[in-house]
Amino acid sequence: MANKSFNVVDELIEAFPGVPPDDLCKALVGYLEASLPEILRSLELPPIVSPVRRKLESLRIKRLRRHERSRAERSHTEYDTFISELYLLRRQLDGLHDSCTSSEYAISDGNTNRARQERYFAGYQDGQTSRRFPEIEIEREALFRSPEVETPPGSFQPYVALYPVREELPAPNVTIDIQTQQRIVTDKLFADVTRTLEMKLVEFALRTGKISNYELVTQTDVEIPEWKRIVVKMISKGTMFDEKIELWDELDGIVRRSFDRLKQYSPSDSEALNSINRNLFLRMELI
Amino acid sequence: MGSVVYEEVQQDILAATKALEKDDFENMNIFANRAMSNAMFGPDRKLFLLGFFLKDVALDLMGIRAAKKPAAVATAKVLASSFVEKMKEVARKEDFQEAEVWTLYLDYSNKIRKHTVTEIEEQVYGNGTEFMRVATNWLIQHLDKNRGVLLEPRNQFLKGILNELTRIYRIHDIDLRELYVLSILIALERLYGYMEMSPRTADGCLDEKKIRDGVFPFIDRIVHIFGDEKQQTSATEVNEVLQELTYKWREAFIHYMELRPAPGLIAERGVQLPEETRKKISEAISRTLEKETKPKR
Repeated sequence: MANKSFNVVDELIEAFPGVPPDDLCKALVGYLEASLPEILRSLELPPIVSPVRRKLESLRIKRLRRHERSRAERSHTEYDTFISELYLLRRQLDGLHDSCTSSEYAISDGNTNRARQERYFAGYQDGQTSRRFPEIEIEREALFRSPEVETPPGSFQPYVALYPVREELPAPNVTIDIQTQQRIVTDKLFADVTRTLEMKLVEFALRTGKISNYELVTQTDVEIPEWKRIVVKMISKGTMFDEKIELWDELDGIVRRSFDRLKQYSPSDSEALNSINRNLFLRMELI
Repeated sequence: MGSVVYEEVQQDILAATKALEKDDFENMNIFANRAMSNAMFGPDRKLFLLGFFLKDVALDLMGIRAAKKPAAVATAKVLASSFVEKMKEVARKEDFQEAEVWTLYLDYSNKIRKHTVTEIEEQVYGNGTEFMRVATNWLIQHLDKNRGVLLEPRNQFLKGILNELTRIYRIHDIDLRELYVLSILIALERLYGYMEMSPRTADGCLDEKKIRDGVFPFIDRIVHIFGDEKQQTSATEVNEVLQELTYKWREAFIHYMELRPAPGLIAERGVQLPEETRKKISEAISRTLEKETKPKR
């Protein structure tokens, strides 16, 4: 293998005499990167060794001497990692299994249809925004969420995907209780309020990184049962009491201001929005 | 107890619902595809609609989650779950009425669209139902008159029409007629995607006959259904076209599975050599050059 690569270098130097080494290197890297996708797609990859077979082999090599055993183990690990990385890479190249009826075909060819996904980004396709090819983001997310393509930590990686994995943002967990869900479905204005509210809550959590959970619940007053209020319970981990109070205050201000904006958009709903605002409470878990 | 195909599609819908509950929208999409493929095995074409709408919901949620701004995924999921539950309820009877599902889908579409608008769009754009109709009619006529563009290599005609329709749809409430048009065009684009990717002539052109025979008749039918604005849109014809397109699309999947897009049509993915490998190549070149330039003894 090594000899072959050196032959390529010899041939390259011979073909382009007097070209600086940096340029030669760039050209070779460019050529390799351009050819690799097709090579990877056309490679007939050996099947991934089943865990049962590996287990049997590991029991068999237990009889070997220590250094032989560790050499065999190392070679198994390297082989498995390498093959699974080649599968992973091929899958990354192929994209989302959009039309598939089963996830195991994810290793097969890429998708053909993005019409519906593109509707979200319609109107942004003037060429000046990063939303031009949003499906790449979607595919990438889908790929890296699939359990089959998880790369084992510390594994050997022969190649790096051109599109790096986007780091997961510490998005908070948002849950909505049944009663509130029913109101979202039946009350259009309330649905708008909840959407805006959730966006503000998530935005705040992403910005501060200090809120891990939100829970939207409808509570009924014990003394006045017809009085229903919406309570946003917040959980902040790893923060002290004083900081929690500050976060609570700040978020409360943001949420109340968002109502002012909603009223500006829709002045005819001002009264109803005031009523929702009056019956909305934010509560930070202080313990 | 319904037919075996109906029972199977019911299970696909249940699986999609479970995936939705777990925020697993990718698998929800797969179960929706499965519902459509399974519907193909039986005579009841209306089952296609259920899978078609489920796929739409899955793609909606994937789109909302993938958006860069902080998104209200939990609220969107409430709307999606409510629609799926209601649709399941309607489809509990094997002889359900398609019109009922369309009504639910219309309501869902008009609610979920708000999750895709920007703050400025929400602030500025008002009721645009009439405008949506004018634009839709124009686009249908444009498709009819310029259908030859679909024969050109690298054309994006159907995607372009969908782009215009959906940008308007995103910011205004949609009517049932326009939702019909949008759904049929989405289905047509899915089918066309397969034809676009299928083997080409020696000079790289699309297979003209395939597109004339496979796509143009559908354009004729679209023009026939929606061409005369004053006439009531025939829901039966809409369902027939949509179901036929979906059938052919699933059939194409059996023939070609997931086709790789033709080179140059979309951003080609690639691989990048790690820095370490680049360094090694650079060293190998330098070493070889050094060897060559050294005076031979």
